[in-house]
Amino acid sequence: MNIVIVLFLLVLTVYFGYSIIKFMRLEVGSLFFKFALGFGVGFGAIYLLMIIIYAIGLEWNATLIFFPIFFISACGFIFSYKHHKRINIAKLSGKSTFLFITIILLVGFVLFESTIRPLSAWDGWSSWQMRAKAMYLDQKITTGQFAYFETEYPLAVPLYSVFVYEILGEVDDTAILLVSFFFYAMIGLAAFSFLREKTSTNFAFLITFLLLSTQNIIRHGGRYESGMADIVMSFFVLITIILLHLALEKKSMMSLAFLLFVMALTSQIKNEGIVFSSIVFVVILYYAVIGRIARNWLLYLLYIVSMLVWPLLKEIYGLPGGILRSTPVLSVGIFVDVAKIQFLQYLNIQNWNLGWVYLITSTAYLIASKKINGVIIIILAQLVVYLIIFLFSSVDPVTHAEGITDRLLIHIFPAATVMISVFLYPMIKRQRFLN
Amino acid sequence: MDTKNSKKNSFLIKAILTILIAWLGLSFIRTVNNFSKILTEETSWIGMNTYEKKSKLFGADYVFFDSLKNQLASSSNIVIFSKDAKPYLLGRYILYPIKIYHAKSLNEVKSVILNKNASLLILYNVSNESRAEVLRYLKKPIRVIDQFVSVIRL
Repeated sequence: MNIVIVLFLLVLTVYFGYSIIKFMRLEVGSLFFKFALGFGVGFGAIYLLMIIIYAIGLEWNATLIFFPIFFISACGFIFSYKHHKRINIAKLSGKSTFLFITIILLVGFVLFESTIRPLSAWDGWSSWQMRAKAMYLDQKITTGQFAYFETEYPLAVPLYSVFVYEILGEVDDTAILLVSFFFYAMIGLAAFSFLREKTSTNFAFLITFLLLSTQNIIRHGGRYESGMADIVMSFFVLITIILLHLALEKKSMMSLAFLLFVMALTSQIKNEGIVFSSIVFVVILYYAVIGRIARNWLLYLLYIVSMLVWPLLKEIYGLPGGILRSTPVLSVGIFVDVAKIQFLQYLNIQNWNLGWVYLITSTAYLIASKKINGVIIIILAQLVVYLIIFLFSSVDPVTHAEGITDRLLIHIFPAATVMISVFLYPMIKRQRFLN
Repeated sequence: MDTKNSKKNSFLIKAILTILIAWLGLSFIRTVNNFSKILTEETSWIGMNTYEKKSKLFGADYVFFDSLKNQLASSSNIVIFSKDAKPYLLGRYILYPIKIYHAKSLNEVKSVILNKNASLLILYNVSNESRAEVLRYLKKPIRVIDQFVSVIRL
């Protein structure tokens, strides 16, 4: 029964976010993309709702949390019902139909996997879902929890789990894994909808299938690695990059506002999100200066404040991981070792099939053809960040890099695969097997 | 120069298409392999209850901590003496709101007992020397769970 309730809550989250998008009159991307974006926006809005309820001194309870979400979603459904479109399966080519059915079976497989076992990922039970369980059982957020768990990560992922537990009325560490599954499915939906808009239907299905069949993503979506925050980061990085691309096309204030909101959310998922969204912000500022994106200094300021909230709270309350209290040791000498680990991870077929080989070759081609742009720079910069962070690691950097590089690369993999495929498409679209 | 660049680009395009086709082939094979897991390795999970599933995932660690859950008040504090962090972290997750503190030496055991008002000490997979050292210090009866785990009421 809990599994059905959690699935309902996840669909409700999509519709909650979609309704917000509709009410704010954001006109970017297709209907499918708006659903995927809606999941991200709904996830973020629920996180904010949980924070607001707690901050004003009220108790989290199912009615108080559920009612506003349900009300806004119901209004959104009523007002936007007429505009819904349907994908016409009859129009799909043989190749697309085959890939579509394979993708559906694959997503079904990951759904099955996510419900068959309880939480088993080490960081899931030692950190992400541990904090959710503690906040739910204590019915509060305390500095003591952070000290006890020795954790420095932000609250968005655990607070969404608290939201689910409040509605369920208990901690269920099997049903909660459906959240990871849903992020997996929404990565597929966001990727497909954007690719379909920018390339051909066949190519969109092909790249979506290649992305969703990547074993590391399957593991985080529903097998032994689900229940952590890495697949959540992947989703938000993908949505950010797509929104940046769309905001550059539309130049509308609303697309910029949603882009900055999603970037602020990305910074609330993991600490790596702060670095990622800061890189994107620098690129946005550059585009704002040259007049390619809407300019609004108030929105920029709001983003900066939201992004800095978590690091500032850590300093103010003396939580673990505060930068001002840390004494980082720079180990430049291990750079080559860490770079080697990252490079070998690119070649790890077990985790990525040939995904990174495709991305490296395609990036080399785009650079050689002088087709480099802001999005490629962001992707490359984030990969460099995933080398540099180990130089400041408090534990043995090489062991640390060996342990988590595959998880860090998952953050950028879906966005890199989708965007580089879009940039590459004009050069390869004449190939018969792609059409 | 342009011809050279054009040749290089043409080579890269061919390489990308070859990689794409190989990736597609590999993905299909692995997808079929994934589907086959439903009929092979996953069948044993179907029909198990949550306790059985967690016991299978975490082994004796889960069975031990789960058995402690009903014996202690939720406000209890526990010290776990182990070299390995896994039983401590897993116990912390299973037993919350009961608090567990990790000690890796006799001095840390003493410090936690003193500062956290612990009611239970668990010796988890420690060497015979460390166990004897702790027992000499505490002089309390010990309950031996199995050859790896002993519990001392403080």
